[in-house]
Amino acid sequence: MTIPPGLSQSQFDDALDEFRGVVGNDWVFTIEEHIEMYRDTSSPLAALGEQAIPSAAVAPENVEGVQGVLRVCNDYRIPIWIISTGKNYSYGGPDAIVNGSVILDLKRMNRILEINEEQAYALVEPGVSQYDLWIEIQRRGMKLWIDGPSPAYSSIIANTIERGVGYGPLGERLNAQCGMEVVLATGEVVRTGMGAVANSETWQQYKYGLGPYVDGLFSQTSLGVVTKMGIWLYPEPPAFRSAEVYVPNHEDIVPMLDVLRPLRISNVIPNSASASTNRGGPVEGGFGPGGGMPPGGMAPGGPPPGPPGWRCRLGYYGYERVVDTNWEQTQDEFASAIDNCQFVSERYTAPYNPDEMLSEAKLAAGIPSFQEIPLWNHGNGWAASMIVPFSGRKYWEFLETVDAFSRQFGRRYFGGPLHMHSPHGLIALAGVPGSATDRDFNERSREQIVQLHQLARENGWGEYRAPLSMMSEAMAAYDWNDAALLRFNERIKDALDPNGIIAPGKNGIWPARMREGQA
Amino acid sequence: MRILSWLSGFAAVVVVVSAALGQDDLVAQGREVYLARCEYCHGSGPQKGGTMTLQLRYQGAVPGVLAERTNLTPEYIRAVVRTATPGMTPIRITEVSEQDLEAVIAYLTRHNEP
Ligand SMILES: Cc1cc2nc3c(=O)[nH]c(=O)nc-3n(C[C@H](O)[C@H](O)[C@H](O)COP(=O)(O)OP(=O)(O)OC[C@H]3O[C@@H](n4cnc5c(N)ncnc54)[C@H](O)[C@@H]3O)c2cc1C
Repeated sequence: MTIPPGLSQSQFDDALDEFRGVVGNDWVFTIEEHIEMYRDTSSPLAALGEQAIPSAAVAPENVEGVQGVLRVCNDYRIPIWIISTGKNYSYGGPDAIVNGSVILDLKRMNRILEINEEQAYALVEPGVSQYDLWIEIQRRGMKLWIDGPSPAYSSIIANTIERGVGYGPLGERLNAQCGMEVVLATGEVVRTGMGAVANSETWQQYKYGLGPYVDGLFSQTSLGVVTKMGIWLYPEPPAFRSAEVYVPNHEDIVPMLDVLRPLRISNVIPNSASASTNRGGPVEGGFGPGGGMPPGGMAPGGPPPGPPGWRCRLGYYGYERVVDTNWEQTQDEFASAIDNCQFVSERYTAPYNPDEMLSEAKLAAGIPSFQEIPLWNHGNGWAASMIVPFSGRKYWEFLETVDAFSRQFGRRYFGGPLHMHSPHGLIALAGVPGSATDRDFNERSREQIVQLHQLARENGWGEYRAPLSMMSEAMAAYDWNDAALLRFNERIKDALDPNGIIAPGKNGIWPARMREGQA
Repeated sequence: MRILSWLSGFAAVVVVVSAALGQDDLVAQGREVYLARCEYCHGSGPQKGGTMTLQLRYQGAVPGVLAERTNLTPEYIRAVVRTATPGMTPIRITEVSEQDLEAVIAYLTRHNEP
């Protein structure tokens, strides 16, 4: 049995008894079979023998339970790692960074507290999944759409505060967040925005309240446990159109991005557009040695199978005429910039029948899709999601630079997925393959991804969200003024979490007591 | 090995639950849980990842839709639900309780040959 760092077995046994006193015997998990469910078997660290193993998992049912668990953690200085639904696969799954951490599993806090059709919002607890909310809206017959990531069994709160990506009109998930309730490391409960006004009815209607806007501190956070969150919903539009544009050549990505940028910024394309190469693609069982091209766009040797060129996925929402006009305008812009584009599109009108929609259309309409769930095990690889300038020429430079770098490792980079959920921003993925069991293979891949991070830092490509095994490396790119931002974050961390119990090391931010010796 | 220790760890629960509920009630409860927690990936219709994967794997030798299978054993269902497999993440006790899992097992094995 793994125990938290710095504790003796008998101290940990006492702490477990106290956890049981808080949440009940049934909701403290310590036996190996249970602990296994709180581990990411697709972790690249597994084959390296460096994956952190939890000492226990604890699952409170309510805010008082969360406070009680934090009290015990403070008393014994036990590091905890928070999961809402624990499906953060490809970014680390339910894994913690520090060996022997206790996993705080919030799945039992799964109440949908309010759905307001008129004001188009919901108030949810962490255990509520995209699917849970969607099915409840259908059950109540409300004319509201949700938005969210492709794995629909994952948490609305976790995905939103991790600054995840959906593919509909509210795809920039944190932008759709309005109001939070947070249990701070010290156990105090805070409500943000209008929730801080005791008698307000506007917690989910206006984000900012008065004074500094603190919600951002609780995104990608190690400062508190988010126990309630407001999320804006989208009134069902009279019509919507799901569309794809295909361009035939590898180099066509340059004009493709230059066409997309103004359309995206001006909201002619209102959904979080995404693009990817036509090559390669997922294979059952992952992307390990000898497998297909990983989602990160890296392949061994020559080009992977499939046609060259790129495709992008778009969505349009509103009145039929608006939807059609904006799509026609988009086609005109593409056709005048790129030869031999292909356009594929389907228009749907209310009332919608999800069973008649293609999976691209479902994603663009925020309808939970389960098509990608079996790909949860991405083959124990690594990926970096870098923010690069939203310009065709600049992206091409990125692609060539990463490809030239990858050749040193006997691999080629053909361009990973591109996300445009934040309309002025372009996020480019580059990944390296991994193995579940082959240590040498993973050592080599790790060397490549660590060096890729150095390359990214030199070129000014910071990451939007970092996988667990590369969090400190990713934060190292944020180095302006001798890493002033990191030091600022460390000061906040020390002030709000004096015993350094919550998610130590998340995004490279370590509490004072663990800072020595961390890069 | 892991699967075996699973079974020994939970044998007691199986007995308690089955004794408390009649088999028909258990199957009905299992259907409810299945519809809420499994069907979205394993049901019939398009874009169900679980069904698509099983169709690909078994090429029609057995139905892709889980609820139509007649050869799933309780041990196998339990192992696939609670441990990581290439196509499916482990489903934790906080997602589907032990009692609900027993009910799902009763539902998915209801048409098995005795
Ligand atoms: C095939 C595949 C496709 C994917 N597609 C997408 C996609 O389209 N878009 C996308 O965004 N992601 C995608 N992902 C990544 C991931 O699956 C999702 O982001 C998923 O929503 C995260 O899992 P979760 O919601 O269960 O988060 P959890 O695992 O519960 O939490 C994630 C992290 O958030 C923090 N956290 C969680 N809850 C709290 C809380 N209450 N308070 C404070 N901190 C908290 C913790 O640090 C935790 O590690 C994909 C992954 C795979 C494998």
